[in-house]
Amino acid sequence: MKPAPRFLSTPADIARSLATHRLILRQLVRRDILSRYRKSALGMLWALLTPLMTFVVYAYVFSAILKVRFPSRVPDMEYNYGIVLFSGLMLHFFITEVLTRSPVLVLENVNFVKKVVFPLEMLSLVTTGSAAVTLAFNFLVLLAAILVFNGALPWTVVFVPVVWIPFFAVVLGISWFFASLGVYLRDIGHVVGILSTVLLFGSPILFPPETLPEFLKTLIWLNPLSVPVHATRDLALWGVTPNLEHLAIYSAVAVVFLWCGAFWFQRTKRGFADVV
Amino acid sequence: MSSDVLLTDVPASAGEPAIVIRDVSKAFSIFRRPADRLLQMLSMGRGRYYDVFMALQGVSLTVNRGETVGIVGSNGSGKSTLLQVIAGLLQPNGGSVEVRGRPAALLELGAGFNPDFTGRENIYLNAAILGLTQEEIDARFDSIVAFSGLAEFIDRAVNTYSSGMYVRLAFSIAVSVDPDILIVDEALAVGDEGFQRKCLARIEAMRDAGATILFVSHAMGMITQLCDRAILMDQGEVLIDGEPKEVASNYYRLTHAPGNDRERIRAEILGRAAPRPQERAEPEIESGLDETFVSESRVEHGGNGATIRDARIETVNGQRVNLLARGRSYVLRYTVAFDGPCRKVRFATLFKTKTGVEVGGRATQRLGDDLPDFDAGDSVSVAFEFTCNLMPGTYFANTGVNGLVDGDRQSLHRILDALMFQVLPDSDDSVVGIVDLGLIPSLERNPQGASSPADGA
Repeated sequence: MKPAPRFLSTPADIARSLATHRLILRQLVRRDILSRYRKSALGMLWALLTPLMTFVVYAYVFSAILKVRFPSRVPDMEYNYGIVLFSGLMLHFFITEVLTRSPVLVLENVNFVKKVVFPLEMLSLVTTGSAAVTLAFNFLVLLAAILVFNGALPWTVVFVPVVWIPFFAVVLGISWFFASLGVYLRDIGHVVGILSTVLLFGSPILFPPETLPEFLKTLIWLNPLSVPVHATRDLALWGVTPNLEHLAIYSAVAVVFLWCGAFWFQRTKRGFADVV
Repeated sequence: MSSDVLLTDVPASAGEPAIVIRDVSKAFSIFRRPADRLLQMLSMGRGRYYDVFMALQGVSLTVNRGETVGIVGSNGSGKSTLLQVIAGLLQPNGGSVEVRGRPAALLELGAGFNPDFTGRENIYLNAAILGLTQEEIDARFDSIVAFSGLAEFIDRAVNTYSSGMYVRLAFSIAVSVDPDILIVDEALAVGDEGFQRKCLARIEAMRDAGATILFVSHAMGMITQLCDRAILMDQGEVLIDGEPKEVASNYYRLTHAPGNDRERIRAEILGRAAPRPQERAEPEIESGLDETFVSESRVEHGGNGATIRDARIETVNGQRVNLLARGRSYVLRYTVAFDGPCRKVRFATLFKTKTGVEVGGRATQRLGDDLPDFDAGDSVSVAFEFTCNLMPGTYFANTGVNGLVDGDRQSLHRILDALMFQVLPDSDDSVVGIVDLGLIPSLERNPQGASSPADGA
């Protein structure tokens, strides 16, 4: 079979598709976010209220009740455990949101498969984009919390969005993979719940990697959350340069993830119409 | 199994084919579990995890740029599948599909709508899906709204729209794209009469502007009116590719064929071989009965001492029909049962077009005549014999009975749109209008140089 022309198989093709369909992408992301708050009385305020309340709960429970402390990476600098936790959790929220929604993306948009000529790869982009907006709100809450508890923000915080780029790529790649797989294997929906928990506990979000047994210390870096969580904390909390070698490897792997996800999605999407 | 799909954005130039389909087949694989579809893909042809239903078999079709082609066929004949393959929504299993130019497919109106959002937001989203840029949508927004006639509702959520309004908006967006190739699947059968006319006018304008149009319809009137060519599909195959009128009349032959005759007629149609437009085929149009073709707008009044029953049209041989051939004789019959004394009774019928134009009707007698009286328990069979001089199309007939009640002439029972019937299209294109008035033309060639009397006036 010759590939259809809308087949995207190289990162350049993906970039081109993004450029062609940026209006759809913008419209759909907007629609996705707005529809979340459309019928609520407080509307968009929830986008800030939710992370704020979440943060307050974590901060109170872990620092005031459980009195947990997270060892600092730099001397003379101690953060409330709630802040450290939240800085990692927000990335976990992000990946969980995308993972949970991906397997049903195509199934929820049958019209886009059967009735309209629609670039289906957009669906994962929309979900990732929409989750990224949520992440941005969480990040704002985090910044506010750091300011309140610490009085100042390290200047390195401006690089945080940069280290997130490969993270987004990884998540998008996974989303494409799951979005397609979810059409054929409806079981995927159940798998992502477990996967999300594994990702949380198998990452340095709840505890510093140094406290782990030796064999896990290495293994933990295979978690797609580990490098971004660590780098985010380095930049936003401790104000130190993150491990650039780790970031470089992570970025290279991210490109592979993105490409494989796109390739898999494009390869398998021709069968969607037969089974949805 | 192999298939080629080529889609280019460069429109075909005039006269060049815009769509070329060669020997396309599409098998719907019936997978018992969705996972089997994945296994099938991963097995690289080594395994087989499905049952097959052939939706298209060896379909070839060439549509030139600027041509309007109608696709007809009964339900399940493969029309929609063909359109979906052309639109690029379905991958054919074999053969090649070549589409030159920007297609817009209206397979289901409003398929991309989000009900929670306003008309305005949905215009932007849908137009973007159809391939317009932000600037293009901005520029066309007002004309889209104007065409839909929904200006005052445009900032309301579309879930507050009536289904007619929904369709209006969807069609308005779809035609605003100015596609090189417009693919329409029965979508025009919706919306009110006025909007339908507006849509047809728009399609005609697009056709005149050189767009290639491909559409599926069950309305033969629309096919013969709009199309340059038509194809008749049946069981996934193209039976005829030719003149719209020829296709329409064969469509009726096929769909109204009695069960066991169907295969024979199908073979006969297929045996005619592909397009022979120059040949003036005169297939015998036969009357028939389509059980599914019944009046849905039937309204009854009265029951004022009399009840009309069993209104029907029969051939002179007494065979019940609702598909009539021009020029033949038929009888409209009904029975009236009386359940009380009725004085000076008249019976009547009235034929109307689909749009309600009263074509003609009559009562059994004049008012001044000696009209009959009836008592409870009486029953009368009423018959109006007529020659079908109506032109092809859909018609309705009212039936009624009236009499004197307390000295006033009143309707005893009346059924509006009691009957719906169709006059079948034929290949006679010399007569126009609603009724064949039986005009008799004659021609006489005048000697050269001699001026006609009219010139001297």
